[in-house]
Amino acid sequence: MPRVLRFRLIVVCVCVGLAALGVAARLYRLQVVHHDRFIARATEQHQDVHVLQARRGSLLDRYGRTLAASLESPSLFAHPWKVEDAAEAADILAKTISKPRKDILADLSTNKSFVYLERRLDPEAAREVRELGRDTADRPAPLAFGGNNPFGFQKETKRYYPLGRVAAHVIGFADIEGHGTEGAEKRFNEELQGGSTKFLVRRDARDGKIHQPLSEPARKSSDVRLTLDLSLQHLIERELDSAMRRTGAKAATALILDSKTAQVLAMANRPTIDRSGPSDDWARSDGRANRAVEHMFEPGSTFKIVPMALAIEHDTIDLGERFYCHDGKPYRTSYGRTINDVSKNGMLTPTMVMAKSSNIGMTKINRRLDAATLREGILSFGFARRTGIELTAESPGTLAGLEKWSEFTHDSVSFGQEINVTALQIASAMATIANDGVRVEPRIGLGTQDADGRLTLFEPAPSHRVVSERTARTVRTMLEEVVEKGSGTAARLPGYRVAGKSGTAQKAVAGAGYSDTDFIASFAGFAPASDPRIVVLVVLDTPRGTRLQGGEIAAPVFASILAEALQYLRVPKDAEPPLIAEPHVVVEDTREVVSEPSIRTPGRVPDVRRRTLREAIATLSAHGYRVRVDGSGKVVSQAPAPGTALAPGGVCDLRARDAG
Amino acid sequence: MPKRMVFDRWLFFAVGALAVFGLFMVGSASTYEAMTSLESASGYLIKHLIFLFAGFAGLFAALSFPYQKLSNRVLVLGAVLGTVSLLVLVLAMPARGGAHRWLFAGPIQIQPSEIAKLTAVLFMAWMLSRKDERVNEFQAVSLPTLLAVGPICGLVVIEPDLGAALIIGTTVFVMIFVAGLSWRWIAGTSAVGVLGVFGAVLAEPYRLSRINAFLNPGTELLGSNFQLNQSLIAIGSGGLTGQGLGQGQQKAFYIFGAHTDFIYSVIGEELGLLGTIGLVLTFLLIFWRGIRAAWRAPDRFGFYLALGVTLLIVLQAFVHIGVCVGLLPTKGLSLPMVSYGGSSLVVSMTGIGLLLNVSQHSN
Repeated sequence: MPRVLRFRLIVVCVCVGLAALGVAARLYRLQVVHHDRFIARATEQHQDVHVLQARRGSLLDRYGRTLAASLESPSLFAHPWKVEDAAEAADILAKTISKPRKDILADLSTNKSFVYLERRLDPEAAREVRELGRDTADRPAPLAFGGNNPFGFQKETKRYYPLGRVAAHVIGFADIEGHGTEGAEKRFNEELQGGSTKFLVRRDARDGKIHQPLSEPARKSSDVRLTLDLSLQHLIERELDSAMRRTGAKAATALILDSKTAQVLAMANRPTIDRSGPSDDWARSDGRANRAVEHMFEPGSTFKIVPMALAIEHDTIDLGERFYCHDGKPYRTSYGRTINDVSKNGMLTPTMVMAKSSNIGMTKINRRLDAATLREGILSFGFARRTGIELTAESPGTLAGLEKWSEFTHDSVSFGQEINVTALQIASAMATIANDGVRVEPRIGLGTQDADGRLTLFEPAPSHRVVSERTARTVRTMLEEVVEKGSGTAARLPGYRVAGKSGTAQKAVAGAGYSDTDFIASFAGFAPASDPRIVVLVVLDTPRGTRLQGGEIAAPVFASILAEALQYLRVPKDAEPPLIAEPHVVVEDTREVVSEPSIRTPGRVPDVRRRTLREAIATLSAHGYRVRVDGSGKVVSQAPAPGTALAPGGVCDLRARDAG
Repeated sequence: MPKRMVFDRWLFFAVGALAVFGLFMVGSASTYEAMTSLESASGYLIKHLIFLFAGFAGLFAALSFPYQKLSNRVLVLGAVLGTVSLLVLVLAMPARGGAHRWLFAGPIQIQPSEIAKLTAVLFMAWMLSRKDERVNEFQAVSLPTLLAVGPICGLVVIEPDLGAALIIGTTVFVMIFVAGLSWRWIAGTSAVGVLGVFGAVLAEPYRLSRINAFLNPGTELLGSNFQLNQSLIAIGSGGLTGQGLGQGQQKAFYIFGAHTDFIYSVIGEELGLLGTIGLVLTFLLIFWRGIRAAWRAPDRFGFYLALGVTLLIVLQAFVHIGVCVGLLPTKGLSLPMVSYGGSSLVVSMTGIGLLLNVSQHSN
């Protein structure tokens, strides 16, 4: 081989060797030196962790009627890096969705691979946006959806409150992410929300995805049944509305408790809030507070049941004893205070002190208890601490400590001043009397319900004896007297023996004693007195007009609620006539007269086809049916078929599809 | 005197190992593509297996006769003419992916540009073995080269298949260089080449940015386009030992041509530095055994034939690797013996057969 050939061959070999060295150096740099950076970039584009939240369970009333439900709702998203002309896309979308063009453009101009443009669109808006992805005769589709395209829809769930204002405070609400924020939605969030499933998502470059579960949900989401009875709830909402109109009150609260279990059967306030509309202004609304547990006030005379019960319990008074009530003149105490009665009373037995609601008589009775025993007794009735009901922002109320306790305090407390209470605390104290002296902590959660409708009750509420049965029965008899011939005659009901107590508290004015014009008028009581079933409380805050007494304006509201509630619950009338004979109306067996426990006659499933899911749920709930939903949009079919006989509490299955 | 010996075992086993390795890698890299275009994850693997049998058939066929019989004017010029007609014919074929690269003959598809590589080497070996004494005379070497290789390269560029043209051109140039082309000629040709590159850079701004990327070490790790970027991510994320065979994720459409023009990137991701360096070493081994066969060839024709085939395969391998690691601009070139592709595999294996053929004759 010629020399030049050999030399040239060696040159070629050296070149190839150098090339190999260059490649090796480059490989070392890529695969060893900067390996971590490339791993990070690879992971970023290949993987994602998706957290899939289970569909939030429904809130139901005690018979399974829907109070709040989650429905599927489409959310519009974009892959910004696939959008070719962001400005044009923003122009088109701004005409259909509520987001301003500027914000859409900003979202589409990021270099993220995924952004939500608008979450949980209304079915109508979603349909319009989908229309943008369809070719028509006149024009090609302005936007491309789905698959490998820049835009798409993702199903998310949206919380619906089909009842609007009804029980709004108890239900509360959940935010857009499905976390309960207020009320039962918050307190039962864990049960409603369940656990989430974590997925590792492996992505290919064409948006194919492989989901690989990383963790199973720790808890399944379940429905929660509250102790509310939707029929009773509707009743007090209606009564409150009419009371507000009649009395011109600034605010009002009504409560119905089961007197044996202290379960809240109905709870409503005015002002209130409508949760069927958009959520934007909920946080700012002045109707947001659940006054029944959040608002503290001085109760006035309704509180007298507590010192009276304690006096009887500790045997400091004799029921035949008489107390001088100063014949309508002011009673001047040793420490220079003046106590007045509204009516002119001479010598009164304890029973009549209650019936006439004499502040002077009650003061004198109350003085026989020492401060420590009195205060201890008040606490054991559940005052000055939270009841522990499963609602949010509950107020504990206030009561002076023993170190600040004065004669003034001691006397004030006897007629419900210098103590701040919530409506629920008063109702609970009344329930304690009705329940023969055993206090059960009030509750609003009944239990959880799984997918098959099986109910698992929550732990029963703790209870303890506050006063003896004898004491409770004595107070109960006194409260019957109040209604029969005392300050509460407006609460009388034909056929039932009603026990109750009115209250009219002057509102405290900061730094200026008590107001002469602003009152809190209330009435609390229970029936039937022979075997109490329900406790009803009505509180009217700052009524206007000539009649401002609790016995005058709160008692009639109390009476109409009680009458209809007893009828609805088919509570038998009291067997024996009331203590004071009165020509009572003889009514035949109630069960034949009174309708079924529903506002409407039950029986036939209404036709909800072609209605929106929201309307359908509202309609079916109002009939007392439970609803199971599949899909979103408009109802396409329902089972059982419309017109089928179905008892309240029965399940209706709805299948829905997005229109268009 | 030349005597018949056994063929080069090292070379044979290196190529055999490469081919089997390629089978695994094509199987792994093509799964996503196969699932979408062939509706079976192993669709390309099975086709590649068939090509492999054809490749070995070509290899043994090229071994089965004394290679000197190829040094025949009628045969060589016939091959050139045949290749040129195939290259003309392919232009009449419907384009696929914007290029007229494939001849369709029933179920068989042939890439004439692959055949052109071997034809060019055969022609050069035949011509240089007779005239390398007069390599610096224009009429003796340069003119015939331009007349025969010129049309071949030109037609391949028209297809277009720039990668194949580049490989053919470079191989032919190196062969003439080894034959002893004077430095004057080399300087002249190089000047033309540099001017050409310069013009090409000015013509396409992206090429300039690519050069800029090289000069700025910070940005150099970010490829200047999506394809290169994804290739670098694949190789870089492989690390020392890789994600494991079949475990790569970049072949899921992040890399275009994962089982063909970017199979080295998939190897880098799945087998790491061990795989990538191993492959470089294997090609170096083939290069060494190829040059050794040329060195020991009993005649000039054998020398140039072995040199040409070796250059063809090793050059293409290094360009493929250089593209995948971002050292060279993106060109569509398969990795010989490893990438999916029937024509490429059969031609490469046939070339290796010729190389083995030369290696069994030695002086």
